[in-house]
Amino acid sequence: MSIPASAPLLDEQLEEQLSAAPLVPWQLVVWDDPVNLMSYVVRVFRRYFGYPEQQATALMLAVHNEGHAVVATGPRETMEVHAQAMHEYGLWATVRKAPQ
Amino acid sequence: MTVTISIAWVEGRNLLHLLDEFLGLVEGPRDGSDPALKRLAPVAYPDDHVAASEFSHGTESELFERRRSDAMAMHDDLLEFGAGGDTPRDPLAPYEVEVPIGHIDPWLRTLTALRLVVASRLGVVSDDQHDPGDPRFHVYDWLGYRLEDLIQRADEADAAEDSATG
Repeated sequence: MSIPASAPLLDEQLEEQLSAAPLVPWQLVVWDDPVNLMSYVVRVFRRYFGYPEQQATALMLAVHNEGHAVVATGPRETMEVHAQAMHEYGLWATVRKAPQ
Repeated sequence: MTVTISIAWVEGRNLLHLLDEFLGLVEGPRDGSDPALKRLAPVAYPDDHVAASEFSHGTESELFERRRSDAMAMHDDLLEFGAGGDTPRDPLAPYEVEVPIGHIDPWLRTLTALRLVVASRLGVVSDDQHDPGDPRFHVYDWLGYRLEDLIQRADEADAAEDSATG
């Protein structure tokens, strides 16, 4: 596929569209539940997301103490892949648009 | 590489029994109103019915297939406990079970799923609802103990691997 030399008008239109629809990040939220073990949640965060031990522990404590925590941020499709993986691990995860 | 866990004969038998029940639950036919199944496949978009339904349609069969293959992997590692029905055994005699490294996550996910199902059947909805004197919680606690033990061993195996490669 070839790309035609860009017309100035097209660039302007594109710029306008991009500024009109800024990329809204999405969030993966993990919720507290009374069943999952703390050590298990830390391990899942560490192994699946590759978070260092300290960060994984801090996130687990945030989930436990505050009821939920944002565990990852990014494009919606990626957050859905993460949500499915968290569900496979038995964690209670949801996807939402990042609050503006 | 494997991780070795030591379990009593009666534990192995009980795990196999729970796995058989669990496989029946996830293989279906699945009752969508069963709270245990709902907990195993949570709603990803609690505030958006359409997105929630799309997500569930797109992921649910894969999710339950993963649960099935995880449980089968664990089942395979425990096969020795299904045999020998004719030979009297000491129920508390310890047996060493070799869990291949590749089966660690399937075991962890399945033990967790079994606890979620038992908790759902018991109606555990908060941390302080746990009454250790209630015999119904024994299975739940025992699964928690088995899970914690395996997590420790898996974390140790990770650390050993990291220090070997790093």
